[in-house]
Amino acid sequence: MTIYENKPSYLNEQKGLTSWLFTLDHKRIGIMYLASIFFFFIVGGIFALLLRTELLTPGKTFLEAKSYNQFFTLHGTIMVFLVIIPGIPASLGNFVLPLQLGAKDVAFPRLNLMSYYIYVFGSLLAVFSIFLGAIDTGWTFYAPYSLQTQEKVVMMVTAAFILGFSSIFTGINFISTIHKLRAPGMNWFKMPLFVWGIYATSIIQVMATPVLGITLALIVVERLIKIGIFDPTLGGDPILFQHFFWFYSHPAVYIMILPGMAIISELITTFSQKKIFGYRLIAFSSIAIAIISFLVWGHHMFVSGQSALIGMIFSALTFLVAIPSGIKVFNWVATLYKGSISFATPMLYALSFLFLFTIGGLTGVFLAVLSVDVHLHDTYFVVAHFHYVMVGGTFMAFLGGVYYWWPKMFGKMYDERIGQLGAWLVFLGFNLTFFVQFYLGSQGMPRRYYNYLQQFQTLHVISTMGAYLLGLGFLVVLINWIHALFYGKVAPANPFHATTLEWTHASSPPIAHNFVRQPIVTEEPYCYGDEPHHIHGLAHKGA
Amino acid sequence: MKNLNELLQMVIPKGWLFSTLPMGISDHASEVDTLYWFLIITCLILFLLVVIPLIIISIKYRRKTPLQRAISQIDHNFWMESLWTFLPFIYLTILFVWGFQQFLPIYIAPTGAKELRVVGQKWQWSVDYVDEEINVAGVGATIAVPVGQPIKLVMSSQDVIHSFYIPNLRLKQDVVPGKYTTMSFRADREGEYPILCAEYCGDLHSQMLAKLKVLPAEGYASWVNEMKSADQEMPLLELGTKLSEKLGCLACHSTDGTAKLAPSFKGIYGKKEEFSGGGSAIINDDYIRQHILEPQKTTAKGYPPIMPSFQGRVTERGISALIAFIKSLAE
Repeated sequence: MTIYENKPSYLNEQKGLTSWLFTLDHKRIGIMYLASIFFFFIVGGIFALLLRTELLTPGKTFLEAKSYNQFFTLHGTIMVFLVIIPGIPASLGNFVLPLQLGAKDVAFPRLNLMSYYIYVFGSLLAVFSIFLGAIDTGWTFYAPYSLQTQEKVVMMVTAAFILGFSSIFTGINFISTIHKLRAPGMNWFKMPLFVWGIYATSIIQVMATPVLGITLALIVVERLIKIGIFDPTLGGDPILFQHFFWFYSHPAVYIMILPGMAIISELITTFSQKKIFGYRLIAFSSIAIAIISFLVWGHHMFVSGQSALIGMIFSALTFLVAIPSGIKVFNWVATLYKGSISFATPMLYALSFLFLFTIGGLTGVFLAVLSVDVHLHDTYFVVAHFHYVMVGGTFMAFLGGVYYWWPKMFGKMYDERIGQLGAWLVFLGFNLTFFVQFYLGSQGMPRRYYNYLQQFQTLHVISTMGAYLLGLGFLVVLINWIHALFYGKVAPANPFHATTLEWTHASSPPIAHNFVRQPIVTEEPYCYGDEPHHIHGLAHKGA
Repeated sequence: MKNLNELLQMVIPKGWLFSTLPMGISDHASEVDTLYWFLIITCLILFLLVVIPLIIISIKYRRKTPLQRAISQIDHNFWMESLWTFLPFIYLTILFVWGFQQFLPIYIAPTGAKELRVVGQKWQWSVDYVDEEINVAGVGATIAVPVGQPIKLVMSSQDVIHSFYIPNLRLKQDVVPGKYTTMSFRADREGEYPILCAEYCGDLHSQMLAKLKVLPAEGYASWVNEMKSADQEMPLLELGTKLSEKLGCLACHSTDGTAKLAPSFKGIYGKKEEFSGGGSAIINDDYIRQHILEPQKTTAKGYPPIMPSFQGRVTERGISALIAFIKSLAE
């Protein structure tokens, strides 16, 4: 990467390993997060491929039941706690947020570095626990199973507890940054929608994560010193665990999806060169989702043994949360109307998102209907639904976002043809893997099943083949990125003609202090306005 | 909502397209199916409402030259945005009411419902018939009910959370240690249907199966009699045959030499069996007796250690009968 030596940037301002390890630069921390998160994504993905391979045949294919149970637990735990929850906010949020706000850094750079190291420590502890005795509880750690199994639950739960602090610190940091470090002239409604999305996410992170921490701590206390909280043999209540767990983990679903939606708002507007449709409604819907997300956790428990009345209330509230998500989808489609739509790689992911997230959202409606959920709960239908939201939604947005900001992060362009190929492989592989699972679930195939009825084999084989194709797609994406890092063409400051500050006022890659002069904001964030907007190099808007 | 049900059932004949649901065997199941199909059709329409404009717009307004600009910068439309805020609200309200209406009866058993008490434990179901004073249990146990008779299940768990799931009835209820959960149903179609555990409960979660056998009234009465019939009067071999089924032995041990979850009974008597923890033994009367009462002591090599203890559930004579049965299958 010698090219950077020509031009001062955050990448070459200081050199050597320690300059990275002790950096307080939000951009470098974002890059370190990005690399770590994709490392753990590969680990979680390998477990997924092993699982799908085992499911090629009913009964034993190559794993024992015990190993299968451990593998789906590890896949879930790694993907949820190490990849998707920190995912977009910690990596792209860290890199982009201060730039979009016209700030020099986040509000608390040291806290930022600390949260990275807490993340690394928690993650390594989680991975280390696998070698001592991989847990087999499912990522949900349901009591009393998690209190009775012989495996290293305490260590894994401690890891998740520690990871929670990383999440809280990042959330606090972003909220402070957004409140205090906006560029002069940038009022709340001049903030890019990515910032709104990250803001809503941060609120949930700060408010919900402590509850997970407390719940996990109670599991440790119960396992180690036998205080009865969740275990009925000690006088506890296992349903209480589910309430505590989902009180965090349902809002956590929105910790995962809101940043994805935030990225999509940026991609749709940039790649159609058009002002976002319904800026305020999109911004408010993020906040609405953040608030309602705290009131719907019981929809994970319609058949758990909670009362029918509680089930009714949670069902009603759950339907409410569907409305703001629907609003966003319609507004994005309306943005494209009469735009100038480019099909560059990031946009392909945004369009995939619209397609897949719509399926994920609509199948969520099935699960909010009480009587239908009784049949579909804990079946492959649910598995397919949340993969459509988490992978088809969040992860597509994540990939699109990484492609979009890649030139800004590294000053190099990715290869467009390999980018397109990867996007198509991922899209096809994903649908092949998960669409058939809606059918399996409707037929009554429960999730977390090592063995299954012969009649389901064809569909399981299709799903597994899809998973291999999806794996190949991700591989192509990673190769494209690594290739771009070394051989990519030098990127201009604003290759996609976007209008937010990181593109118009910062070079690619930005200098260590982000901006040469403090940007002053006078316009709304997506002003594709009347004059031609093809700025190459630095713009002087308002500076 | 009743009329809508009937209307939809006329529009969507049973088995239309491809059957995405297993066969429904109760009124409740067919009502749920109607709602399910309503959801599929309306969600498909909503999906097309998003995707078709998306595709048309993407093609029509694609960028043809690198410098092309958007032809409009409209950025809001109050009426359009109100429309897609409030129409979904109405649609979702309908779904909520409809779903809740079907949900409540699951928990309200009609008077005169027959009560069955279900206990889940790793990894089998045990069911006590309160009126008939019989019990069925074991992996793959057959749980019989009379056709058209309302049934109330009162369920609890001995160890961790399980979930009693009958896909053909569209019913599922978690079975929780330390409390009772209930669920009621009426099966209207004779036949055998799978019962599965739907809440992850450990190594053999996916083997925790049973069968729901819906029988006509007479058939049910004779099934009950068969379960109850005085064991004392039966010859040993006949009793052994009966017990092997009733206690669920045959769910794991085949009688024709095929290996299921445990070694086949065929030809096992008098044979030397290797154990998974090392060691071996000749399968004789003493071994069989000990293995029925304390199965966790030894496990045949290559098989999972899943056999539950039958201590207290089978009499001395019953054990002799089972030995006679296994002996009869020796080569």
